[in-house]
This record gives sequence, structure tokens and C-alpha cells, in this order.
Amino acid sequence: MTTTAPRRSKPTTMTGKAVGGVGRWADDRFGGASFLRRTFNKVFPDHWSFMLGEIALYSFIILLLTGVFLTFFFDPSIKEVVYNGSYEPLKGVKMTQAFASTLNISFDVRGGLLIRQIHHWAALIFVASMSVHLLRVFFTGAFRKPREMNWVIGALLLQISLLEGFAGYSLPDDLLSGTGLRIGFSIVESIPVIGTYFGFFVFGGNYPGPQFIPRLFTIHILLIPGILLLLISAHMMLLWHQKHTQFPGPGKTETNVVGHRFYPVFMAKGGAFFLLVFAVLAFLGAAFQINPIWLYGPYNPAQVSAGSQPDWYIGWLDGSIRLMPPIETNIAGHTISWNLLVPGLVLPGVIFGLLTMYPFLEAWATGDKRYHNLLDRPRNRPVRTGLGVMSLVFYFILWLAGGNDIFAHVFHLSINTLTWIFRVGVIVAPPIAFVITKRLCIGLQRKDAALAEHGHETGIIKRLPSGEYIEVHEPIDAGLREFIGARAEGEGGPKPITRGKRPGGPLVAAQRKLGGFYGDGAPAPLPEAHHNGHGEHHPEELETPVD
Amino acid sequence: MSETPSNGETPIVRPRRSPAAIRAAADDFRTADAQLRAAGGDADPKAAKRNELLVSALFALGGLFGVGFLVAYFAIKLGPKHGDVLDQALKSNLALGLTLTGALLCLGAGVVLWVKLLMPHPQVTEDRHDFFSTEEDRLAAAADFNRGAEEAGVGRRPLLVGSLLAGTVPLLVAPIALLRDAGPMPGKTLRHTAWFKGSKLIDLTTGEPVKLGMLAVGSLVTVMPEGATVEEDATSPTILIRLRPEEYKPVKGKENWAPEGHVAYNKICTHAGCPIGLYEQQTHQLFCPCHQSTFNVLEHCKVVFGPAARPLPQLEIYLDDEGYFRAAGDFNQPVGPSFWERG
Repeated sequence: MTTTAPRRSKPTTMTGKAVGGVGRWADDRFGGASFLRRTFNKVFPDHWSFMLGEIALYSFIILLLTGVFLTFFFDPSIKEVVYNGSYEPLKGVKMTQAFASTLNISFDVRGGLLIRQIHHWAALIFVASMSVHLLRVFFTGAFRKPREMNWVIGALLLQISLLEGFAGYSLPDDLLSGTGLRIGFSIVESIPVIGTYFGFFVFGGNYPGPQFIPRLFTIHILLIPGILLLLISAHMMLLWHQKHTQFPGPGKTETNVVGHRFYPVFMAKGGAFFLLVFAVLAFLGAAFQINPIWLYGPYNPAQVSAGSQPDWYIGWLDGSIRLMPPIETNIAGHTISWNLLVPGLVLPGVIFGLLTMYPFLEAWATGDKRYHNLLDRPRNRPVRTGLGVMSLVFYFILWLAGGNDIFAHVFHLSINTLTWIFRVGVIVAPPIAFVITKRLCIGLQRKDAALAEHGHETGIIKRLPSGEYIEVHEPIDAGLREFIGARAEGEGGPKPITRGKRPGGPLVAAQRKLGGFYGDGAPAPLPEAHHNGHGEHHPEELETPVD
Repeated sequence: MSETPSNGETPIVRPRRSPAAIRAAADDFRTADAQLRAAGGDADPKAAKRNELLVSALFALGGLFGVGFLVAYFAIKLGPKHGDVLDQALKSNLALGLTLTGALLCLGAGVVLWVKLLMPHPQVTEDRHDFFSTEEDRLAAAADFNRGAEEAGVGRRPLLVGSLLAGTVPLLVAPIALLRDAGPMPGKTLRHTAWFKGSKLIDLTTGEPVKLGMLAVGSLVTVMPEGATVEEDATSPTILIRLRPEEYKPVKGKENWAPEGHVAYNKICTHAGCPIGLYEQQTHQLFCPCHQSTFNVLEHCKVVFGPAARPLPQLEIYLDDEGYFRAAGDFNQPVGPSFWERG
């Protein structure tokens, strides 16, 4: 079905007339009816995995709503007070105003605990849905030209959101978050040359720093949300402008979009999905306790609790810090604390750098300058999929290492042995994961090829006149064939400028080599179907190539 | 595909439901689904009436949950006058949260069903119009740009451009300069703690100075220098451990640092600055719960495991005439995590 322009007719109902009137009034002043019309009829493709980014967007909106409520009651001050509020066990305890007001939100403001818990859950889900959305975009190749910059914006969003989450987690000034901040200050201190200056300026002095909580508050509620809002808007506008990618399938090409109109179907579904995401977050806030700061108690630099784990998305950094061997050098009177600098700054810097630049790296390696509006199936890009799984394994081992004390405790293991297992694992396991994933992808491609060639098994066993038993196979339908046969090679887009002779040199040699590495395991075109399924040939026929 | 065997082939095994039947059922489902997609509620007006009622019932139920939320808000009061504070807070949280969940869930599910059962939602195809410009437009844009630059004289009057850039630079530096007062210079701050010569060792929990005999062999206490608070001197917390006197193996220069087997080590981990939380009496090891650095007290807090690279600094202490422990001075090296100027 193709887009047909909606019928144009004079509105007859009362509401129709009213809407028409308002519309006319607005268009007289601002114009935009034609823009609205294009918008109403804009087509959005449908796939469950396209909703992951939506979850992130809606979580962000819920974060803004609940966050505003919390600012009405939170007092970001490190002024020391003696608690005299309603929570009996902490009465008479010295704490900062920040911690006391968080207790106040939890115990004295009706709905305060709920909003706090929804806010915290929404933050966890926000980062989680962004991460899974990123994986979807990565494994399906949605980041390719012309969408590289939207990938870059998305990667920046993820990084800034980690900071934002950590800042928010630190605001209540409880024992757990204070410990996290102390580690943060130490990481800043470890930066060569400027570390101590930077730390002192940011914290307003030596740790814990008299200015830090109020500054963090401004950063958390104004600076970073502003940047996030800006980047999210840019992300959405680019998505809107460039149109969404789609999976291959019947009727879907590089040059069209198949799906639902924005208005009313997609809009209604989107609105409903917002309500449902909100419902899930409200349920989490209602039934699952999160960050019970009254159990941790106020921050005290001389105390720490066993089993100190940060929020999930910081876990991999904590893990990398835990795994790092004790290396520190002292050259010409200057100390470099590699045991903090490498796992706390260098590693995340390199990882986020590679992540952000990935679309350009892949395009450079493959020399692919075409437009891609059809998505890849991960199995058809074994090397990319392998690299993705390899990175995931690396990430998850670091993440698990962030809980090594819990694992050691629960499973009665030696923490030293466990740490060594993780240290070796984080280096050895990722390459193994790469090889296995690449092999699995190629295996799946062969399964696809076999399916295309022989068709589905029907469960019907036949005996041939020759006495041979065969199972009758049924050819796959055209739609499935189109889906599994799509190679998403890309087409359209402006013609790339062809340069004359390509220069030689080591860079080009490296590029060729990388291109070969990337191209390895790319799928062959799907074989034609045997006309009557598997096995209905005489043995001598089978020995000759079929069709 | 042929269902009936021909030319002498005998089917000997048949699945319970023939592929044809399965296919027919799937086709029926697809047809109904396609009708619903194409025509929405108009596909089957009777079913549509039923579905309309269902969706409206969901919306009404959502409204009821909303009312429930308001009732819960006003009915469950917080604070010590209304029972156990934690219980009340959790009760209110649960009631508000579940009613909110119910309201959102009903409204959301209602809209989803509205789309699925009553709205036509056919698949439509739209062409992707090229959003990039034609080659002519690009060249024309470049020409316009060059014309503008030419008219402004950017190329012809380098003095203008140069002086503009030069004039802007100080303004770019200004915001950085403005941040200078964000904090003090580090100076010697990181090299010192609040410990001073003659300071008593104040038990952090009781606030009393520690006297000989207060600590049993194998136990420990966190101490602060006199007049200091952990809030302001976060690097001063120090652990005082009582070993058996023969367990302390003095090294050169530290022979008298363990009066009656009492040794004092800074509590702040030399790795990332967490307070060392756990002491294992049997192995005489101090353990940091943040990143599992482990220090052996019998070997002057040498690192035996984990990411920390340096032993915990030891504080020289002595016993005064009245039996109080006192510090002989500040630590002889910077405490806590390493930093560039540490040396």
C-alpha cells in the first residue's frame, strides 16, 4: 500500500469546525499547516527493538518530572545539623543538611519516598535502556552512513548520563555515596600534573570539600540536564529528518519506509507506551526499595560498610579499579598512581573514545561510503557482531569484578582467587568470545542458506519407488526469503567523489588489512530453492550440481 | 506441494495436524488481523462495540485508581504522631505507588487496545525523499559562501581577521580565570594531617583519650587527634591496634613506635582513599572493603593483596607519664592516595 493523501473536505462536525477554526487562526499567524500535514503522515517503521530508545526518552521525562518535585524539598547543604526529625533510630546523630533533608523527603513529605524511589529507579532504567538501545543500533548496523553523527550524539548521551547518575546518587551524602565521592576525588588526584589543583578547585578544597554538594546539586539539576535535553533534542531531530531505519522484508527497500503513520497510530502507541513505562517505574518505586539511605546512615570519612557497591552502571569502573594490579611509579619526584589512573580514567577514556568513533572506524576499514537504510541481521556481519560480543564480555567481566566481595562471600570463595580469575578472564575471555561469535554467525548463515535451498521440514516421511525414505520439505515463502536473503548492501545517497589513483603507504595498507578482517565471513547470496525440497533426486543426480 | 502421494509413494508418518490445516488456521488469523488493521473497528461493528466498552472500562478503572491515589494521599498520614514512622512511610509509599501504577497501567493498556482493536492501522509505505541537496545546490551554496566572504573581505583584509581573533582570546581566558576562586591552591594541604606533637589519641566513638589498658590484645580502635573532627580532617582518622609486644618487629628508626605493642596506622587507604574497614585478628590483616586492598599489620602494613601500591603510613606514638598515648608528631609522609607532587 502506498501513502494516499487523506481526503480533503470541509469539516462537518462541531469539533471538526472548532479544530479548523483554531488551525486557521494559528496558520494565519505562524504558518505550518503543510508542515503539520507532512508530520501527521510521516511513516514510522514498527519493530519491538525500536522501542528501546523510547524507554530511555520516557524515563528521561519521568526523571525531569520527579526531579523537579525533589528539588522543592531537598536542601543541598553540607551544614552540619543534629537530626531531630521523625525517624527515631537516627535522632541525635550528626549529619549534613543534605542527608537530613533526604530523610525528611522520605519520612515527612507525603509521596516523597515514592517520588524519590521512582526517580532512582527511572535513573537506573534510563541508563539501562540507553545501553540496550545502543547495542541494538550497533548489532544491526543502524549507525552507518548517513547516521554516524546520531551515533556520536547517542554515545555522548550515554557518557553524560553516567556522570549525571553518579552526581544524583552522591547528593544525599549518605555513607555509601560519600565513599563513592571519596574514590572519585582520589581518581581526580591521580591525574598527572593538574590532578590536585583540579580536585581542589572542583571540591572547593581538600576532600570532603565544603563546596562540593551544593556544586554537585547545580551540576545535577541544571547543567547536565540542560546538556542532556539539548543532545536528546538533536538526537530526535536527526532521527526525524533522516527517517528511521528498518529491517529488510517484503516491500521494504533502501529507499522507502514501511510502517504506521505518525498520526494517529504511532502517536497513540507512543503515548500509551509512555504511560506503561511510567506504570512500571511507579510499580518499582512502590514495591521495590531502592537506596534506603536511613539504613546506610550519614557519611562519615572514618566509616565504610562492607559490600559497598555503586549503582549498576558504575559497577564496571569499580570492577576495573578492583582488578588493577598495584602499580605506582615515582620518577623525578613525581608520583603516578597507575592503579587509579589506568582503570579510572585511561580505560574508560579509551573505551568511550572507541565507542564514540566506531562508525567512522568501521567505515574507514570497509571503505563503505553508501547510504544504509536497511538494517543488518547481526549474523550477516560476523566480525562486527564478534567485536560487539567481545566488548560485552569484557564489560561484563569488569562488572562482575565490581561485586567480587559479594561473590566471594556468597559462594565461600577466596577473594584473592576470585580476583585472579577475573584478572585473567578479562584478558583471555574476550578474544575467545570473538572467535566463538564469529563462528556462530557463520553457522547461522549456513542454516539460512540451507533453509533457502531445501525449505522447511514438514514432518512427512515418504518412501520413494527406489525404496529410499525422504522427508518432504516445503519451500520457504517469498517474505521470509526476502528477510533472510537481504544483504543490506546500501544504495542511494549522493554519489561519493571518486578520487583518481589511491595513494599507497602504511595507512592504506593497514586499511586494506582491516578491510579484509572485516569482510571475513560475509554471507554469500542466498542459494536458489530446490524445486521440490530435499532428497527427491536420484543419487547420481545429486552428485551433479543442482540448478 | 502435493498432499496426496502419487506414483507409488506411501506416506507412513503423518503429523497430528497436517501442514495444510496449520496453514489454513494461520491464513484465517492473518485475514482477520489484516481486516482489523485495514478497517479497525469497522471490520466487525459488533466486536467493535464490545471492544469500545472494554477500552472505556479500562479508562474508567484508571480513573478509579486515580481517585484511590488521592484518597491514599490524604488518608495515610506521616510522622511520629501517627504510629511507627518507617511503617507509615512504607505503607503510604505502597498505597500511593500501587494506585499510581494501576491508573497508569489502565490508561496505557486502554490506549494500546484502542489502537489495536478500534483504530485502522494499515501498513503504509512512504518514499524516503533525499534530504541531501543536489550537486548544483551544493556548488551554488559554496559560491554564495565565497561571495559573502569576499564581500566581507575575510581573505583580503587579514589585519581585520587577525585583530578580531587576537581581541577575542582574553575573553576566552576570562571564564577560566573566574574559576580560580573555586578552591584554594593545594599547597601543602595534602602533606599534612591534624596530628601534632603531643596530641592525645582520641577514641572516635567515645571522644575519650586512649589510655594504656583500654585496648585488649588483638583489638583496635579508630582515633583522631585532639580537637579535630572527621568532617574537617578526613585524612586524620588512624587505627590503633594492640599487638602482643613480641609481634612487633621493629625496623631501623621505628624501634620505639610501638609502646606496649600498640601500633598506629593511618586509616585512609593508600589506593583510593576509603577508610580501611575490617581487621582480621587471626591473620593480622587490614582489609579495605572498597577495592579489597589487604595490608599485613605485622609487616608494617605492607600490601599483601589488591590494587594499593604503598603500605599504610605509621604514626609514631609514645606513652606519657599518666599512661595516655600521644603522637610524636604528624605522619612522616603524606597519607591517603597518591598524587603527582607526592614524590
